Amino acid sequence: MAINKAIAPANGVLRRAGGFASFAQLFRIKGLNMSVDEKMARRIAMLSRIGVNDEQLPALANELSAILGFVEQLSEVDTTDVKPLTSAVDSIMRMRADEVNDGGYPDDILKNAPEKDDEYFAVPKVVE
Amino acid sequence: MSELTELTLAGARDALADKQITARELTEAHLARVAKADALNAYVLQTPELALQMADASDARLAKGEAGKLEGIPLGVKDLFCTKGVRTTACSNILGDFTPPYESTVTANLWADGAVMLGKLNNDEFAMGSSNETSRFGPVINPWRGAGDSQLVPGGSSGGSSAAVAARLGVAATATDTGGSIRQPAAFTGTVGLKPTYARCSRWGVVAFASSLDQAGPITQTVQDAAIMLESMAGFDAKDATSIERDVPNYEAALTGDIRGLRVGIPAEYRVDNMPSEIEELWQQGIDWLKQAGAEIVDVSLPHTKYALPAYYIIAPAEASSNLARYDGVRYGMRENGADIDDMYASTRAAGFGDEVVRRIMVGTYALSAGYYDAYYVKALQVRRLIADDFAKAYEKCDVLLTPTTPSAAFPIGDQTKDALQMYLNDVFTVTVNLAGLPGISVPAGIDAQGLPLGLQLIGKAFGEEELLRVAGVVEEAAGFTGKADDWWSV
Repeated sequence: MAINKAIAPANGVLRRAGGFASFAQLFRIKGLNMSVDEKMARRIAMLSRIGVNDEQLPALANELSAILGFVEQLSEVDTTDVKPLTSAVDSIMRMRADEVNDGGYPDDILKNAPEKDDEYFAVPKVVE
Repeated sequence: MSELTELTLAGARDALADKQITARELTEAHLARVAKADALNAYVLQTPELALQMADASDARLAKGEAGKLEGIPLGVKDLFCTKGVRTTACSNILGDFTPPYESTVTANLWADGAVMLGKLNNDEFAMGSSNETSRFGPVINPWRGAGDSQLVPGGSSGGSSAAVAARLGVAATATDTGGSIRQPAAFTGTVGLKPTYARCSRWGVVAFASSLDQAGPITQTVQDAAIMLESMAGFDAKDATSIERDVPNYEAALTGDIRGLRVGIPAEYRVDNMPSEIEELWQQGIDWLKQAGAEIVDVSLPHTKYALPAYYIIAPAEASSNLARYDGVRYGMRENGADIDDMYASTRAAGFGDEVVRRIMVGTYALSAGYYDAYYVKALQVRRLIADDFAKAYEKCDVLLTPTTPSAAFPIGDQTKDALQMYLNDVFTVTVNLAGLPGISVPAGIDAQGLPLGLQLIGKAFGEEELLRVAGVVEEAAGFTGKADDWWSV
């Protein structure tokens, strides 16, 4: 398997140049020991679509670092060949007939919209 | 009947069936009590007109001999359950005055059985918290007070539900539990809190926090009441893809009091450092009660217990970051205008989400982002399997587990809000149960030196609610907990 080039700048933002090898695979990390700096906090806020101003960043970075430091303990656990558990109760996804069985009440759907136009949700202009 | 608000659910049901009281009288008594209890801040919305309408309809059905299982029983509903035509906010600003055009399946089941809605109950914003201090409507005050009449938290996230039941502002209440949000508040208020097996109650119409962990359940005065509530709330629902097609038993009938020969496991890893001696003693007391009732006590090991909280604080935020992506200011809730659509999203979410919710969304976003997904999210899911496997192994040796519910009694308002991690530790004994999808119940079992209630937790096998309730009934009976907070808050 080809190892892809990874660029890990000092601020902790990791970019991978193509390929599918994960960070964990690349570095065989035991503990990530990754503390979040302000630049990273800004990036996570951007990915989360939450507006954050510069004054909030130091505190946010600290809080996120503390939480990630706490979860760091997980790296002590040997999980070799352990299958991830996504659902606690065994269940099979049920199929249903591929037919419309609900809908046809746009007024109800739009009732809570902050802004609407006729039978549509209205948003700020997206296309110039 | 002098004190209508002192009736348990079973007591009220029987009094209604015997025509000793009417649903209207019972509802009016509770509404009057709720109206005087603003100091507790348990209700975020009172619906007295609707309640009286529902109570009159119940009286009509009672007169015709068509009573449902919960006919005329006035309940409070956690504000996480969507209620048709009644504002539902998850106690977050981002939902504004959202008024669902639909009803959650769990509450629909309760109304179909004749229950009466008194109003919507306070909770931590999006159920993220262990003290009910992150609500947009402000904190709930525990009806139990500490030394020098200090004000305490009622636990969280279902703090409105626990406070309401403890103060008799409803015969019982609905609640939800993602990491301990039913059991911990129950322990803090001297009430019974039951988190059913994952998939037992439909999640449809319940505001989502972490979908693989969220589960609805009741907070009640007694174990018998919890059994009655669960029977109504539970059941298959085609609208929830994870709901299970499995019959709902008569849980109340399971309360035989006979646990002879039952094997009760005591997990060694729950004996944590710095556990107050009172909690330790209460646990031993619980062991003795069950032994006296004819149960066999078995030492078991759940070796990955200490990794449950760290795994939870990846998995739950990861799921939350995905679930809460829907709050974008477009379809419902509040909108904060911006220069363009991206700015509108970011401004709306910044203005609408509280600090704890922002923290969790960001932790989850980070854990799911490219480059970190395997190291954090997949790792946490692997540890989750090890935790579930621990329980499976323990259940080869025992039928049910006994542990404390919380590492302490209720703490003062504002005591733990400065440190998110300190707050997270509240769930150390409860969170494993959600990760493994098992049922758990907290039963009031004693009081500490300050006179505050303490709870014992029982953990069952998946869909083993009948056995769980049976053992809980034995603990309840042996403990004989009759403590009740004074009505200091009543004006």
